[in-house]
Amino acid sequence: MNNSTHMPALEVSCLNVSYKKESVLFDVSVTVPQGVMLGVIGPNGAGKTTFFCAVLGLIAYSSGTISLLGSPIDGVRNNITYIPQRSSVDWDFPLTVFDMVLMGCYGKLGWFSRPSHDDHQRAYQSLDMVGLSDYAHKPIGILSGGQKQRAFLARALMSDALIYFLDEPFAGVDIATEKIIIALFKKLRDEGKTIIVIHHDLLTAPLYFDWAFLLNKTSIACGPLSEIFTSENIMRLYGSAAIAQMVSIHADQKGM
Amino acid sequence: MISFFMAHYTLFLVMYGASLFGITAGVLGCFALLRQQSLLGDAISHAALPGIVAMFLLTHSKEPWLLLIGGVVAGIGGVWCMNIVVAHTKLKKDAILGIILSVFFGLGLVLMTVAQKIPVGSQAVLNKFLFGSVATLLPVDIVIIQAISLFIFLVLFLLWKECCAYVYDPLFIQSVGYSACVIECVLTGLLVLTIVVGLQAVGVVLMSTLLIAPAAAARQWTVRLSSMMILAGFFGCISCVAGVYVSACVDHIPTGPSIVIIATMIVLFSLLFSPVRRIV
Repeated sequence: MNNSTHMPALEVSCLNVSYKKESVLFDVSVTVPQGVMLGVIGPNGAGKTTFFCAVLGLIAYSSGTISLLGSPIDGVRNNITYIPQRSSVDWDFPLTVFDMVLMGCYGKLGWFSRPSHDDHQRAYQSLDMVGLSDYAHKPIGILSGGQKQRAFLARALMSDALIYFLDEPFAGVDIATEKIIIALFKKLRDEGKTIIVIHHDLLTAPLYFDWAFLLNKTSIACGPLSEIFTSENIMRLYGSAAIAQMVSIHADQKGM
Repeated sequence: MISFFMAHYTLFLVMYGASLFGITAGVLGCFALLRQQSLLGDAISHAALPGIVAMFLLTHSKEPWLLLIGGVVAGIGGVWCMNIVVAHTKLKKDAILGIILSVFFGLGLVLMTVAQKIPVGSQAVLNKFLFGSVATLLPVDIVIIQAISLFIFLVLFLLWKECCAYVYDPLFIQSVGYSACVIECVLTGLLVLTIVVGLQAVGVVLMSTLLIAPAAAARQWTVRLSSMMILAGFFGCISCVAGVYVSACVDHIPTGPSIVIIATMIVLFSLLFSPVRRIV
């Protein structure tokens, strides 16, 4: 583990991805150091989720290299956790919140083995950290949007990962959930973990993240958020001067 | 008591076989229902028909295990065709399922016509695969059904954690390092086995109801996958046993339709009266 502490959390160079012969990502290169809260920001259809899937080895890519903590994905899977979009699963599935969170330890268990008593205790602790202890044995279907997101987060916490990948965790959640998520992110970051979050709302990004990666089919900029949130970059990201203006006004108001 | 049992030995044997069909179909149907693949079950059962008939044409044998092997091969072939078309065209999946289903079924009917003209006299065995008939089950069939059911439950027991997590959230389980391809193959393989075994009882045309109805009914009463599967197995078992009994008591009713009608009645009851999910 020691030799991986100085490695970048994520290093992608010249990544190309196409789906059914259509190019989705083109020449994407980015380097993310460890211990940052990074927002992956871009308009709808920019290929943000595809970028995640390629990085996590869930889809094939046509060319380029991807390394996490200095190794290919298969060597570091136990140090990585992924929270898909809330809408990607069936919330009417017959499953209790506790059972869903318990799945977080499956990565460490491997084929055939079952969760231990210890894993069960950790699942209860994770639920406690996101404030869902009272819902442990309720079906997942009764959770509200924000609670669903927190349940997903609890499952990710089970894995003790070094890098967290989250797809749109703030979409449609209540303020209580937003606060809990941000507080958890900060706590994890202060422990040296890396948080990589897909986020489509440009205006709220400065509130949540200290780093940003601007992505629209190709990589536009990546770095500390205050440095790369320039009107020029935003204009290249959205291709519209109007939005860029809006954001720079917004940033001025916040004293950035 | 013993004399009663002896007198109805055949009936008990048949009911035992039918209850095995029902349990496996109910249990595996839960996965199909939750993955929104009800139509896949229908397509596999239709795809199995040409395999069964082709095997008969090749061997002129009515050995059940030979015919079932033909069915399994054709069923897997059907799924394989679907995956190829999905990967290489922009057609939607339900359109592809619809086409594969009718093409394989049509091919099966053509082959059956050919089989009728062969002068061997054992082609009657093929008819039971259309609408199902358990009345002709022999002890050797029961042994086969038993072995396949045990195999299915063993695999499910060993890979329960993986299957359950994959059906719920395939992206997550892949992201922590499980091979989606392996789990997908296991689930499809088990589904094909279940369907091919069940074909004898309910037939190609009605097989998908035996898969989906018990699972749909069980979903109404439960909040965990494990309890849903147990209940679906129980509903499947009841439907099959009662269906066999009805078709044994009333002349000329094939087992398939009577099983399906009873299973549907259980679904209706569950939709109307389950405490949490009832429609009214």
